[in-house]
Amino acid sequence: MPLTASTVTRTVSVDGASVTCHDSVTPGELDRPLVLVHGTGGTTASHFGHLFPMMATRTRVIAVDWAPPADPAADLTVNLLVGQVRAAVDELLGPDTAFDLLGYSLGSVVAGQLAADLGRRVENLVLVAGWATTDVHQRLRNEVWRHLYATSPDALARYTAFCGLSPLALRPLTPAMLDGALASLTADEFTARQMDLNARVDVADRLSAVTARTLIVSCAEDIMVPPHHQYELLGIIDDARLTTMTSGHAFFLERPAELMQIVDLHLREPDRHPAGAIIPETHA
Amino acid sequence: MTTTTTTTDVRPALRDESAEILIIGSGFAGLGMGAQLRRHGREDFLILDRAQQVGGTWRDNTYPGAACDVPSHLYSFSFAPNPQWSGFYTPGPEIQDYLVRFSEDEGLTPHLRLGADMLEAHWDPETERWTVRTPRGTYTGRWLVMGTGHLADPRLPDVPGLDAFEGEVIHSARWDHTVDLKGKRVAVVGTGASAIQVIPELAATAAELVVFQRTPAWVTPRVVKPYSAAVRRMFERAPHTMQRERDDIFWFAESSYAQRRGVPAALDQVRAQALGHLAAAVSDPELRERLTPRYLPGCKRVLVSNDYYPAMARDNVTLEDSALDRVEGSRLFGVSGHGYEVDVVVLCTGFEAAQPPFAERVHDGEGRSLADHWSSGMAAFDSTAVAGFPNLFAINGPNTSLGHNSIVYIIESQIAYILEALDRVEHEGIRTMVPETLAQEEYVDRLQERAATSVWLVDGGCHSWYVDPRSGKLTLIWPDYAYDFRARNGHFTGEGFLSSASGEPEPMPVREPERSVALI
Repeated sequence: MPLTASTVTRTVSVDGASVTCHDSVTPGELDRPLVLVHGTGGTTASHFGHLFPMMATRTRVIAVDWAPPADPAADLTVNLLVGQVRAAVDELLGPDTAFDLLGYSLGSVVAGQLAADLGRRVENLVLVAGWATTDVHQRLRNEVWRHLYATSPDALARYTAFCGLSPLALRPLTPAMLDGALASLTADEFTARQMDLNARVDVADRLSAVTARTLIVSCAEDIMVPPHHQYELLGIIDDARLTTMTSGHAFFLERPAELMQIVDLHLREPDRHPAGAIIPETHA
Repeated sequence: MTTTTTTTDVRPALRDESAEILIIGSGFAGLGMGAQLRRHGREDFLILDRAQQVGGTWRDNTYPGAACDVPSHLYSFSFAPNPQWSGFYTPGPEIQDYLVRFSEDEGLTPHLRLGADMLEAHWDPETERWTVRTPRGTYTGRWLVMGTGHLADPRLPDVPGLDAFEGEVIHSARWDHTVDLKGKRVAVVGTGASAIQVIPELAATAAELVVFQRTPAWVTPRVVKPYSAAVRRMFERAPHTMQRERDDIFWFAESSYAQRRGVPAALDQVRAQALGHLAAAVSDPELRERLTPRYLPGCKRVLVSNDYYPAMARDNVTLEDSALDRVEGSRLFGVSGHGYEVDVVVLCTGFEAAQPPFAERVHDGEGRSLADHWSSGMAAFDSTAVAGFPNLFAINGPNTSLGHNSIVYIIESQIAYILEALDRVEHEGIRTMVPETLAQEEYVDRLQERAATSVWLVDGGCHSWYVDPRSGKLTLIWPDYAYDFRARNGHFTGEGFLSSASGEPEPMPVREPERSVALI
């Protein structure tokens, strides 16, 4: 199913890997295209099923679905994923066009590094549930994840739901709804390689080179990449401001429209809040 | 003449009064405006209403089953939360009680002028004031705030023979509680929001019920979630838990805006949910077919009900899937030619939304009516002020309704805009203020451009009440997220306005509001 009526989906070959990219094509009120980078185990459709088509009403949106490296023995690295995103963007936009860039979770690690590499070509950078250096708390979760991946798909699905969603978001689910949700939480070998990479992330030095105007988005009830990581990013990146949304890690299930508001209003008026600002969450 | 009344609103039948601000209507818009004026230290205002009680839509709609299809913790003022809502959705009388209590708690009673139907209002360019003529006196004010609503005046269908119908004819918004429908043969005309609420109630008591359906509705399951006494006390003792409930409801509703934009996955999801709901309740494939909509979900309001489809499947209920064509004696005929003998006709035919009757009664400085200005469709700058009508604001006027979220959020945004405008006026000694025609045209054009690719207009639309039939323009709906309305229209900067302190009006300098009004 297309993300929007105008969206063109194609593949770009990067070092032998076939990377899928989506392009909404049609320009909008914002003068720069927006590039989206999904997180661990995700795709454009699963993580940006709301954000992609709705930001496409504001500007041209491009998103990349990572592909496993051609060499199955090679370690997955941040650089490798950065290379996939960059190749796809250059292919679609040409090598000089400036753009705005948003990454989520592991995608924010990738987006942060890409922004550091590209300097002023990335005008606005949005890092959602991002982090710079994997810490003990995250490694513990990562180890449990890998154990369950090797031993029990059912327990892994439950563990993923437990970690990904805030307690109040789980609450209204009936047993049937929960079973349906758990059945969709599967992990494959590529996800396991991304989890392996998650355990090794350390990009604090690279992120300190980011010059883009940056918005850091923290999910207040995220136990996978908890808010203390986003406050660290606020310290690392020079031109950064931070805002919070009430959600677990899986914002795309809990508060997709709140992230839309945050991104939409920020890109409409990126200079509204000075570097260092902590922007309060809005309430209905 | 002797009257007995317990209200404090007993005044001589005719008394002229003046105030700085006149507010027309005492529903969510008028009461919310009045409350915020008081909270911002302004007492010089009057709220006029044609009825004898506050409440607007919730005072007028007393039909059996009347309820709101926006969850109550969101369908209430952010600055006056109510921990006592009985459940996720609440029946109409509970909302009406909330508004009556709100009006009293906010100290609005002395400001109310009830039984004051705005017969005629006009702007006097000499005195720079509005004059509003009513049956109980004439009121003048420097500012006129229209809180007249979209769902105020019942729309009566132009059906030959209906006038001469031998039985009772009732409009859902003017329910006649003296008519007993038990054991009667009843016709319901329409399958919109009011109809699907009243049909299950009537089906349970009527001998026979026939439903005239022009277009089937998309109907999704209704969340049933009563709040226990303990939960209500939690909300009362820990208000942040109630705010969380409100925010969760708001953002969930906002996410459904993707359906209105025609996002394929979002449309598929709501289609599957509604059709599954229909299939679960109606086993007869032929009836199911006739209840299946053929237009995009959301083009007409997506409805929520758990008892509508079961009611339609009852033995004593007949679906006539064509519009009411004519009435002969006590026999109603559909466009299909089928005729039905009935005792009572219940019109669930909606409201005069696209061409509101109040617009006939409001006149500019040259005597030209608002309706005349709006001959090709309602239009306002920032959805709040109207070119040619100085010192007038409209709350819940053109392009403010939502198909996916709570109007109260929009109303609060507009109240903030008006408060900031009044602050600016006071600080700068401004006497008159009016949007420029060009600014209004550009604003409306931009909205229509955005609307063109929405489910309301794409594929030629679906003949909904959101679209003005004269121009085909989407004049009722705000064609974007609710948050976007607040971002664009929730603050007053002066942009697009001409103002005058003395002498000729000049373009207002654009300035961020000195006191940015946050309502919470």
